[in-house]
Formats: sequence, C-alpha cells, structure tokens
Amino acid sequence: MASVKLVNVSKRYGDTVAVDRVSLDVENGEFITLLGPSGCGKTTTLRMIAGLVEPSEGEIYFGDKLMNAVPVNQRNIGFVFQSHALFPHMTVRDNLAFGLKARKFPKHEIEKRIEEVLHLVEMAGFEGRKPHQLSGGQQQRISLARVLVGDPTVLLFDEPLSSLDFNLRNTLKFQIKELQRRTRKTAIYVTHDQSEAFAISDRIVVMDRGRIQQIGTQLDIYLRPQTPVVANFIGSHNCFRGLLTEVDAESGLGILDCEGWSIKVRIPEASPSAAMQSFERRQVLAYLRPEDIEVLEHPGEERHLNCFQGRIQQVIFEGSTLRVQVEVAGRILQTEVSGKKRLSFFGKEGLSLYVGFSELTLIWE
Amino acid sequence: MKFLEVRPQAVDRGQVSRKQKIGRLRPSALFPWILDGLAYLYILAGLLVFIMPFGVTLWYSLLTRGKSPKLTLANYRYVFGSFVDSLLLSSKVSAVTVLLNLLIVIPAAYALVCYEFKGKKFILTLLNVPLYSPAIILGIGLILIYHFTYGLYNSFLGLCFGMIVGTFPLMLLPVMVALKDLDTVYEEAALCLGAGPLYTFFKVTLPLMGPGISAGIILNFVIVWNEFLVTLFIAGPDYITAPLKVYNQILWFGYQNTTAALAATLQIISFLALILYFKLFGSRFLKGRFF
Repeated sequence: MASVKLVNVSKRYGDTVAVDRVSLDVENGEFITLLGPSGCGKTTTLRMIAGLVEPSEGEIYFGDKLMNAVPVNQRNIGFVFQSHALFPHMTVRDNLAFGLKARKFPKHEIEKRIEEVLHLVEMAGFEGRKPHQLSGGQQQRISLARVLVGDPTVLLFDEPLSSLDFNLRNTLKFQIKELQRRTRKTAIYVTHDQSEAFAISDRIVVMDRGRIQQIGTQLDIYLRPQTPVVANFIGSHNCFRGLLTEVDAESGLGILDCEGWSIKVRIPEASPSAAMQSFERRQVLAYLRPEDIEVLEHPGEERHLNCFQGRIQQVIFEGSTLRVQVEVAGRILQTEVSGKKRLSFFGKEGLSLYVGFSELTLIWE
Repeated sequence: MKFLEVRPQAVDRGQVSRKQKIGRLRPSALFPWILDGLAYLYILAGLLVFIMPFGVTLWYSLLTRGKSPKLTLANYRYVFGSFVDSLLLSSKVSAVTVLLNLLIVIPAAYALVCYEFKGKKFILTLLNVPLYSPAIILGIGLILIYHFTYGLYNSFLGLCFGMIVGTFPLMLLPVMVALKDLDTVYEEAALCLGAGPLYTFFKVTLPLMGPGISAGIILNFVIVWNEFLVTLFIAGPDYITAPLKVYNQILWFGYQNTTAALAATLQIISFLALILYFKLFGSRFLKGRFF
C-alpha cells in the first residue's frame, strides 16, 4: 500500500499534448477518479502511472519512491482493463496464477491465494472454465480477482465497466468500491461516466484537454464547479452569460444582465465585501441546475430571488423525475420536477406557469 | 457483498435472417426445380473440369498394367516399397524447412510488427521478393551460388536452404498478420501482473499467435512438399524428392501406373494436411472460439 504522487507530469506525442503538467496527490487507501470526456488525457495519465506509457516530463512517486525508471512489471500495480484482457488460451485458474507464477511464488501459496480471491469475488467453482465460457460480468470479476491475487500496492482501473450493460454496471461498481474498501488499497479509476464517478470515489479529478480542471469531492464538483468546463461536463445545467451590474455589498446581491434579461444573483460568500464593488461590470457565466428551479402554478412567492412567467415547451417523463422545458423570455430553461407534483405536469405542453429560482453558480470569465 | 447472477441477454427474434430474405427473393421460387437443377448442373460441370486431372491420376493409379486393366492397390504397395526413399526425403526436407523457417520467421515478424526502425519497408519488400519472382529465376540464382560459392549443390542442407529462401515470405506473412491483429492489451496485462518481457512472450504472445503460425506451417509444408522446379535445379543426383521422382519416372519410363500412384500419394498427403488444418483451426478460428 502506498500513496501516489504526480508532479508536473506531461505526455507529448509529437506536437500534440495528451497530458499537460498534471500534479496530483492520492493518499494511501484513497479511491480517486479521473473523470472527463474522451480524449481528455485521463487514460494516458493512468497508463503513465502504470508504466505502460513513458511520461515526457515530470515525476511519479509511489510513497516516497520515484517510479519513473521502474519497469511496469516491477511496479506491483493492479491494472483492470476496459476489455477484461483475460488470456483466452488459459483457464480461470491459469489466468489467476499467471502473475504469481511469473513472480515465482511457491505452489501452495498460489493455490491458497487463488482459492481466497475466488471466494472474495464469489466465483468459486469456475476455476476450470475458459474466459469465453463466462459472461461479461463474470469475466470482469475474474479480471478483478486476477489483479487482487497479486496483492498490488495500487489499483488502477481503465473504464472497467463501460463494455457492460446498465444493470451489471450498477452492481459491479458498488462491488469494486466494496472490494477497495475491504482491501484498503489505493485506487485510481478512470471513467467518462459521472454517475459512476460520483458513486464510488472519495475524490474526483475532472480533466479536460490534458489538464486538471478541478479536484474535489462529489459535492465540490457538483455544487461548486470552478471552471466552465467542469460545469458543462457535470449535469445538464442551464447556462447564461451576462454582465454583473448593481452589486450591493450589504446584501451580497447583484443583478446579472443577460442581453436584456435581468436575474438577481447572490455573490459567493467567500468573496470579501470590500471587493464586492470590483465585481461590477464583470462578465460572468451563471449556471442554474434543473433541480434548483421550482415550477409554480402561481407567482409571487417570496422565497425565490427570481420569479418569471413562462410556458411549457416539452415534458419528458424520466420515471422518478419529470424533465420540463419552460420557455421564459425567449429562452428555454431546463427544469426538473420530482415527487408527486411531477405527475400533475405530465402531458401539459403549452401550459402557462411560473418558475422561481435563487441558487446560481457564478464563474468569473 | 453479493454478486448478481448474470442474466442471459434477450435474443432479438423480430429480425428476418439474411438466409430467409434471400430465400424469398430466389428466382427459383418462380420456376421451382428447373432453375435449381440448372444451377446444380452448372456447378457440377465446373467441378468436373476442375477435378478431372486429379481424378484421372487417381483412377490410373488404381489400375493394373496391360490390355485389360483391373482395380488393384499393388501400385501403392510398389510406391511404399521402391519410392519410399523419395517420400522420406521429401518429408525430411519439408519438416526441416518448416522448422528452420519458424525459427527465423517468429523473431523477424515480431521485429517487423512491434518495432519501428529505419528501412523497415525496404526490408519487408526485399523479404517478399521470392513471393513474386518465378521459381525458375530462383532456381537459376541458387544453382549459380551453390556451384561457385558454397558447394551446397547435391546436399541435404543445400536443398533445405533453397526451400527456405523460396518459402520464407509465405510463412512470414500469416505470422505478421497474426501479430498485427493481436490486441496489445494481453501483453500489457501480463506485464502489469509482474511478468517479464520474455515470460510474457512465451506464455502469452506466442500462444496467441497460434492460428497465424499454424496457417504458416501448413502453407509452408504444402508448398515445400510439392516443390519441383527449384528442387530440379539444386537437388543433384543423390537427393531425389518425391515430385522430382515423378518427373524422372515420366522422363525415362513414360506414364506408368506406379508413377501415377506416387503422384496421387503426394496429392493425398497435401490434401490431408489442409483438411487437418481446417479441422483443427479453421472452423473454430472463424467462430472466434479458437482457444
């Protein structure tokens, strides 16, 4: 077990920069997720940690030990691939024994470990099968077992669930989290699926175009995105660009002017009040989460900073929630209605109503 | 912690299979029997022309000599009595060639596929020269070299080397294709599990190249087993392979039933090799269930 530390790690392929000065501290036993769209450099980062790709510059540490010059097979990592990568010509038992045999473990030790790890992933009795005789979920569980059997210091996951179907993905992601918790291993997990990242991580690293955009817990990333990229990638937000006017230092409120549409916004508490005035006339991106908009049948409720009249454009039933697109002053607002109330809006396209909202996330441009 | 049992995926039964579709559009639905019959006749006629030369040899090899020939297996008994030396020599040459080729081809293919180096394309082109140059040119070239330089004429090794030069690319290409098609993820997985590069190569890469290697072996075997022209140039009087024996027999004694039996034996063994290959590897490989 060890912590993992990246210091200014970059990877260039010719002129293109795949990973750009990434620095990251992963604590011992922590489950960290690299999240981002495809091509953002998350997999390359992971492969550099594994040693499968050589960094162009920067240092990678496991604990205090500099790993740059250590070859893959001596790093003692566990890498779970997107395709399970089980050796098709070997049985489950031989697959599990492969790493141990290569590292010259004694026979009885190998037997003992295989039995233990199969028990751990609840696949006992499958020793004699070939990989193609297993289902997709079973294959991924065996590949997980193959990694755990060698007792690696760091677990690395490269989108291990993306080739599985929805239900299986859901069960397996919790099993992965549970296994990591029980084995207390440092884990770095790469995915482009934010719900997967939210479900299993201690911390999330959002990456885009080779750079780290934000590091934080689920709540940090979701409620307090620091860059437009993060805000856009996480959830389907409503986004307005506008000019901040009439900042009131006393109440911490300001008015955002988005091309003639005025919205009252609360300036983040962290900003010192002395600096409030300096926010005036600044370009701002305001993000409004669908679930933060309340759909009202009557106007004028005091609890919202903003209340506008609108018309329902489209209603999409998503089971536990209802997605309602409301046209307000020529723009479309995405709102989300949950609970019993959602049923009353179903099929009500064209209905005139009111929307109220207060919580906006501001990002200075 | 509980693992969910995996449910089998539902099969889409709504789709019309391609076979059914074609069946519906088949013109013979309009003229049953007639068009079908004509189609089979055409195919059979084509097959007949294609198979005839082999059929005739086989038929002739089963007859006795004389005015009123009778069916017999005596010719084959003669082949395995008098011509057995040639058959054995052919087997030895084929085996040694295939073996030496393998030893050269596997590292060569690995280097050509996995590494980048200067002049790679040029080397690959040079290696493939025997593939598109006529055997007679190769034969003449070899005989000149053997006579004047190495003194390999009329020797077993000389014969094998000639075969290797001629058939090397036939082995190289399938092995290279197998390596190219092999997902690097298996080797990466092996390295991540703590295996060294050599261990990885012998335990993972090499077995997974199996289909390509066996295709190379069979191709190589069939070509060397039947090789005649190059052998004619370089074999010399003491090393008469089976195809050469057929040629010599016809040259000196005319077309005899025993010679036909030798030719048929050659043919049958090539055929068996191919059948063996398809039985062992072909069908399973095509279904993606090689291992």
